[in-house]
Amino acid sequence: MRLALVLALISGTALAQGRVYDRTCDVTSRRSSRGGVACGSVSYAQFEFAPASGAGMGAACACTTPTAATGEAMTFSRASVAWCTKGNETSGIANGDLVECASGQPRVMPGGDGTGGLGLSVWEARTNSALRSQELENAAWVLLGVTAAAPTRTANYATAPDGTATAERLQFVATGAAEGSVVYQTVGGGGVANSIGVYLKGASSAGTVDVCSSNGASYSCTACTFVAATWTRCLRENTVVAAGVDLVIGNASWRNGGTTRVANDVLVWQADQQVGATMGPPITTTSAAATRLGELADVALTFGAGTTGFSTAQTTVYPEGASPNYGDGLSRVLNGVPGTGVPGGAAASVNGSYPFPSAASLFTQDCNPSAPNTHTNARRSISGPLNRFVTYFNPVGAANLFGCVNDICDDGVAATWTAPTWTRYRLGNYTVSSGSTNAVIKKVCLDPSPLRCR
Amino acid sequence: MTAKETAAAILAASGLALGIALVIPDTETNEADLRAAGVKLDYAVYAEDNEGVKVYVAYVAESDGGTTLYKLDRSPCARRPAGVDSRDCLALESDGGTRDQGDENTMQDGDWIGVGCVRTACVVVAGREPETGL
Repeated sequence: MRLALVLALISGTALAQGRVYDRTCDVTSRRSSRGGVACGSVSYAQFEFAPASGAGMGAACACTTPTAATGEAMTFSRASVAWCTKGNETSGIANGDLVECASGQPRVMPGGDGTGGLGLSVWEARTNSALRSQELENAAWVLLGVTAAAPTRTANYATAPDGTATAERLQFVATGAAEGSVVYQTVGGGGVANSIGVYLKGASSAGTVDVCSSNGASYSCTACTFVAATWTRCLRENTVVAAGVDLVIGNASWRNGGTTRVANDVLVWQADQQVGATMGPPITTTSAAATRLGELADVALTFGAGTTGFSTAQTTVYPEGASPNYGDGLSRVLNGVPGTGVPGGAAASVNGSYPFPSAASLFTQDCNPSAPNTHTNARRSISGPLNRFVTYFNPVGAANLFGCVNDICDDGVAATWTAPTWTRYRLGNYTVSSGSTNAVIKKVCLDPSPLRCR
Repeated sequence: MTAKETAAAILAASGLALGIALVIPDTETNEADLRAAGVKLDYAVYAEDNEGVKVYVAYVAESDGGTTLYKLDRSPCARRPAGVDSRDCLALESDGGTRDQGDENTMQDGDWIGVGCVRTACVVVAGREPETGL
């Protein structure tokens, strides 16, 4: 009996230590592994959210709240409705792929080109200034012919990406170099970077139309190729024009530099004009501009006080973001070696604002999408009573990932770091109005060993 | 979110005053005076002032690159209610012409003209009824 008690105490101690350093198996398997039995086929690092296996995430666009990989609870807030896309965000979109989640409901989706596992979409607040975004038959949308016939419009002609019969049919006539056959709306809001977008599908065949921002003096058009089988979300991003922006859709030869267009028979749905260098998920409008409010997501952490073994050389975080601009497959690493370089330089250009207390207090890693998994400029967090760890990804400009602990970050020189009580991991935005995540976050991993984050 | 927080988020989403706390002035400004002075008010939104009273606020971009927040006595935006003759409330085109913007559709500050127009919220939270604003 006494021997059994001693063995139990030893076993308990080992288990406690294993929780810190070796959480590669679930509880049952971990106990088995202590006895020499191999772990199960699924194992996780200390903390993982939206792993490649999809554990905890549920189904795409179910509008339900996910958990971290081993069941840690997530809290989420967004005080408005928002659209979720089940697959590719910009092409190959099937009827029913878009689902509107109610206020407060998270959007679990693959993001980007729809490949890879599911992640959590976290966006800043955005406003769509295009009225009647799904009612292009409304008088807010003007049919215009420029030395050519104006397009013919049929309301609610076909099924839209959300599965409702709300897609309009627009038949644009062929246009010569100085001609136009378009539908447009003056949406205002010029002078800052704008992005516009619209869902297009061939009524019977593929084709190419123009989507333009224009104020009459400056024209910025994108040639949008669409197909008949699926929807394409055509984007024209990062356009700065003077006040009085016109959102133009159709054969805009007189504004696209003189490129002629053949007649196009197109299904059209959900037009957006958003302030921002990148286009965000769509926002439905009716009679007024509408704002999708910012999102906050926190995951409770189950490893806490006394957790040791983290060091700047070992702690690894892989938030993976995907937006229509950067697509999937980005892997950004917070790892490492006490950094060199100048922290905060990129942050100073985040939409003209810097959300942290000090521009020189970053815990961050260069996460340039063109060079993922690089480890330069790595930072480590401060020591102290930690209870909140924040990372967010800014796809605008330098495309950096930023991190912070307890609202304060540091690029100190100590080589090791003991994590005290971790209670919450914030995914994405720093506050509801600061820190432009603007991406689908996936493959978040936190572990003393970089080998267990994959 | 409070009405004030929501207003700040909307203003930020409109590209105005991103990350700046919304400090609503005590003094109310007559919207008509600003309009007469040729001041353009983009995306005025509902907020609560320091006494909890719902007001309209709007930023104005100044020539020196800064912005000024105004507490307004009324919204600068307008719409034409259904049933009103379209000739009595029209949208202004950038070239000075006018056109029918349709029933109930919001027109921003300076983009409308006519005695049949009624003031309305410039922007609403997605999924909420425009009439209720914030």
